[in-house]
Amino acid sequence: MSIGLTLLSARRVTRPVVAAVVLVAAALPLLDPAETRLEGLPAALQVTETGAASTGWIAALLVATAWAATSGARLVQRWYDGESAWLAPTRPTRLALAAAGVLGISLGSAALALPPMVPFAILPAEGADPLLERELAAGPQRSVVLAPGDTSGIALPPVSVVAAHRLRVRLMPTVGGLGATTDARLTVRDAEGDAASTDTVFVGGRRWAEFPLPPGGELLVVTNVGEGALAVLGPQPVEIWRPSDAFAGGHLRAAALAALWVAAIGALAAAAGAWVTPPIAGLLTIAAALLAATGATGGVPALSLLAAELGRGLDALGEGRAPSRPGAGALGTAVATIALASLTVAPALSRWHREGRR
Amino acid sequence: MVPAPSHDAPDIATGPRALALQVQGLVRVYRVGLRRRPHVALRGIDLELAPGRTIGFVGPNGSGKSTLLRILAGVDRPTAGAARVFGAPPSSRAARERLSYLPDGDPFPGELQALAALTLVARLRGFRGFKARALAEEGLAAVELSDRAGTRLGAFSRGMHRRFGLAQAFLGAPDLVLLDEPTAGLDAPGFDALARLLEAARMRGATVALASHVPADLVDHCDEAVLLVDGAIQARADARELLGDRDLSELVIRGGAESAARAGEILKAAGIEVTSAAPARRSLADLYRGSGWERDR
Repeated sequence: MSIGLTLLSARRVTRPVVAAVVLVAAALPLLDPAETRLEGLPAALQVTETGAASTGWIAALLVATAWAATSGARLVQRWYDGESAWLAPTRPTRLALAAAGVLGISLGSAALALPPMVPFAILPAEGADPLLERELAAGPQRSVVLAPGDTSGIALPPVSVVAAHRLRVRLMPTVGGLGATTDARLTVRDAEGDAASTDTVFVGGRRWAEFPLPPGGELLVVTNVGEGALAVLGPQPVEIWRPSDAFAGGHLRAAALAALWVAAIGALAAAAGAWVTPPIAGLLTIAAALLAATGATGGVPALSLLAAELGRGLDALGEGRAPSRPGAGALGTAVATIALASLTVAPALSRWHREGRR
Repeated sequence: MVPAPSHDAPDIATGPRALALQVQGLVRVYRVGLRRRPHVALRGIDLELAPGRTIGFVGPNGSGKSTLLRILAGVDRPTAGAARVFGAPPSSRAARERLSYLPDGDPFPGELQALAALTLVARLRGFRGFKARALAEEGLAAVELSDRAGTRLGAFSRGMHRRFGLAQAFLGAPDLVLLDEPTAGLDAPGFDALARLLEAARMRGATVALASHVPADLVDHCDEAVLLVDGAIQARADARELLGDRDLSELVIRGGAESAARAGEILKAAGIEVTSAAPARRSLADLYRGSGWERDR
């Protein structure tokens, strides 16, 4: 397989203007001046800030997906349009030429997943609103139910706290009180028993209560100060989160998930282009991508698997958490898609203009 | 009913001493239009060519010259009949290792710079690392494109594209060179470059097949010429014989208009009719050299 041909194929997908459009699409939600419009609504502002990262990624992925499908669909048509005239008499087999082309399409498409990461890679960590990663989980294995007025203490594991550490407690209203909802007071005490921080949260359903972890905190005291019963949900209802020290605050993992997704889209479009004209192949691929992204039935299984993993990553971003690294399943699915696309494209390169003449 | 494609005619010679080109009963039928009407591009071509020979194909537009070369290059395939290149099917690896092809038009990747594109071609032909780059540099020099090595092919003029095509066709000294309209769009220095490349190919014993509408291409470079009309071979002969007019002769004399007038009188006195007399043309390359073209480059 020719590396030069792969790079040429990749270069045709990764055009600077397309990469710029992807970058702008990703950056627009971050640049949106929501702070001025939502001044005085801190809760809404927090939602907007945490959602901006995932919204940017989704916008960038829409552009990258559409372009990958369009570019991939043209691979075989390029052969019919004249590439065959200089490639056919060379040494590589048609399968090797097809594999180089499809791999190039996939690599070029995958490269389009990198621009959305740029703002997070170049901004200082404190300015980029770093994503969080779970460091420790603590607490009893079984859930604890607190009647109104009851208190429960959970020892916090020793951790060298920095300013951006967050403490999360999983809470839920439960039966046994006078109301369907309740309020919980969360107090972190230090070694001397002094309150290092206190927060009161409304518990209307199953939720995470999240607040900054004060330095020196050794004990979390949960008090049911409402009228309903409160459950501190086990196992290990307390989690300590720290800023991700991954490259670009964890956005590289999101880029990796997105790269696998668009790489598979590009390969799938190339395979479709072996059977139908480029416009139809592109539209079919975009339709398959939408089916997979929305979780609808009847789509391409490989895309559904990748879409599910990408969806989990985007959900994590939306909640301010660093996504997980791509699993072996996602990686294998993308590689298998590229390989199958190469096998589909190769016979098309042995045909001639579908036996018609331009 | 269109016969099934076949590359494996049993009576075609194979092996190291095989003919450079061997074609038997070659038919190519295209399906055109919405109704898929058959269009016959080649009608049972039979042809043999020994190694080291140069053959030219001539014929009106649509006579099948390009189709024949495409089939010989392994780019297209016949509807019926068989083609062999050094005893092997044109699309086989054995044939691809020995042939090169200059296609019509400019299909080369416009995104790449000339040197990068030619290096890529060299690598696809099996040359590695520095050897591939060195061959590419040599190729560009041979067609006088060294000063455009860093220019994208997409920014090339038609003639420069043709020169690039020639560079890739002769890259790595292939045993068989197939040239489709090699002089289309070439300027005078390009003609010179082509002549040098063809001479070098002839010297090393390479076989050349070219299609052209320019009689000089055939007369100057080809051992023999084939006239194709409507997909069939109408004549095959020595190029001068095929293109020569038995009722007219050209006589070149040294000297100006006075010498021509005197020669005319002498010939007339001898009973020989002179139909035209005009100053001989300078070559365009000479004209360019006289205008300081080389200094500008």
